[in-house]
Amino acid sequence: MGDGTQVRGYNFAYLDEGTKRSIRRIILKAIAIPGYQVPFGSREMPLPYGWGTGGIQVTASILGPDDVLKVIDQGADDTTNAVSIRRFFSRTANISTTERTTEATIIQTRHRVPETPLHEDQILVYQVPIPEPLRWLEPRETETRKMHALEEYGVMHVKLYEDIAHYGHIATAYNYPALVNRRHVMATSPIPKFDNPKIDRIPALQIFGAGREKRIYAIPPYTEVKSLDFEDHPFSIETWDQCCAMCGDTESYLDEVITDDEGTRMFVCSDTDHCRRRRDDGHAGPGEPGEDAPGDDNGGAGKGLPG
Amino acid sequence: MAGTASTNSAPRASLPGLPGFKNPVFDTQRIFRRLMRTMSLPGTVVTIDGIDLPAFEGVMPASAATLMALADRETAVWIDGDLCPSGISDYLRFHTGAPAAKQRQEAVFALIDGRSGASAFDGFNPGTDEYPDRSATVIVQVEGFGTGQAKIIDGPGIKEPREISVQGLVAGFWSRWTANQGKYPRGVDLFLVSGEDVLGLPRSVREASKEPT
Repeated sequence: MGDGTQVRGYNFAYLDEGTKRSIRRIILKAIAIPGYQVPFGSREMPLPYGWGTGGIQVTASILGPDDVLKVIDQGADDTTNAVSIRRFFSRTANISTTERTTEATIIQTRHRVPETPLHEDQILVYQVPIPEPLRWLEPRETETRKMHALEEYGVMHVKLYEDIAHYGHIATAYNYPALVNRRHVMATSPIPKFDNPKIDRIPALQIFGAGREKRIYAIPPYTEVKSLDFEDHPFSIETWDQCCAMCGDTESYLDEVITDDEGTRMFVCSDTDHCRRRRDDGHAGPGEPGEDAPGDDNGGAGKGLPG
Repeated sequence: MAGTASTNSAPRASLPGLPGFKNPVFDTQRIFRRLMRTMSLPGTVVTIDGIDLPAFEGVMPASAATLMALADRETAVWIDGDLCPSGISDYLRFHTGAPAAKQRQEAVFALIDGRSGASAFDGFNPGTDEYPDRSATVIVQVEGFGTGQAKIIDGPGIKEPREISVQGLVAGFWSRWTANQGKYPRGVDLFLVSGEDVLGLPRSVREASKEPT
């Protein structure tokens, strides 16, 4: 969908070549030390920190004219953040974009991993708000750096244990910490813990960019990503007793959508591309509660604002 | 106001007069993507072709392309003594601003010959415990891939332990590699280069061949 309307006056993909060069060096080091957060010289971008500036800088540094870019925000291709980032790159780099996971070579994501399995020729770029998994437990960067150096992660296990003591189970539902390559504990960015198994030993390269916090880290393909847990409280993912109201899927991650002001609600796939593909294949769900016909294509609505 | 004119007329370092990339934006991007691929899928050989840089005696095309794509004024480059007369160092300084490293320890990038024991990769900076990323990336020129002694490698980026064979490595290379790997997460990262071919060897990769006993 490169529509030939590339804006003038900017370098390809907006970032200057000097910045791209330094970010590329950082990415190579991040790949060599899976899960370790590499500091980088994050730049001002034409949108505020917190809107995906880390992911955008990573994407801009790896992007080439032959790439096909997909951007998702909470699984959806059609929400504000996803639409504006896709438009940003189609205007500054004049590249093709897509909403189909299978067609994309680079997928920039905010807080979901696509349901469709990825392959070796795809790169998943995450927008990360807080890259340091230990930050809420130890506010000092000098200390957390030392803790990573010494592989001192006891405090993280204590935090998970406190969950069990308070609630009877590990109550961390997103940004669930994981041990990468049996060495570095990593923040998974606020993906739901449902997605943690989907980043373990997958064929695609994963790069995480945190613009405000100025960190980049990576998981090479086929790298072990083990969610932290205890023998008697093993890691588990969310389940639903509903299926998707539109495509009937019982396996995908579901969003709860309020449909009126009387508390009527429905559950739909968070991954809009996955849901659309299933409906194209003839799958159907029970439809919206009430009398509306199923198949009204507004899946994933209700979360336009990035946090 | 008056500054611009004087900056432009300031004396420059020696001009080698040799051209750089034909298309700097897309050439560097293409080179980087291939380097990223071999670094993230160790054992996969990538080919950096279609990059038309001048030839330097003893410097392989992919070595020059890698340095031209990644180096800048913040990255001191150490060039093996045998390759210095080629003029690659001046060429890099002119086109990228990269200074020549006076000592191995200060090099961010290094270019060495695989046969040369004197310039083994383990003399370069492996980074610190707290900042293991501040380590050298060493380009090791070899004779070829697919021939020579076969080794099994395993680690991140490798689905099943896989075999690689590299010709033109100094004796003891693999025991040095194991020592480098033992420093993890510190350690240097290598690009093995033969002509236009590159094989990435990040520090996370283990040599996992069974020792013949």
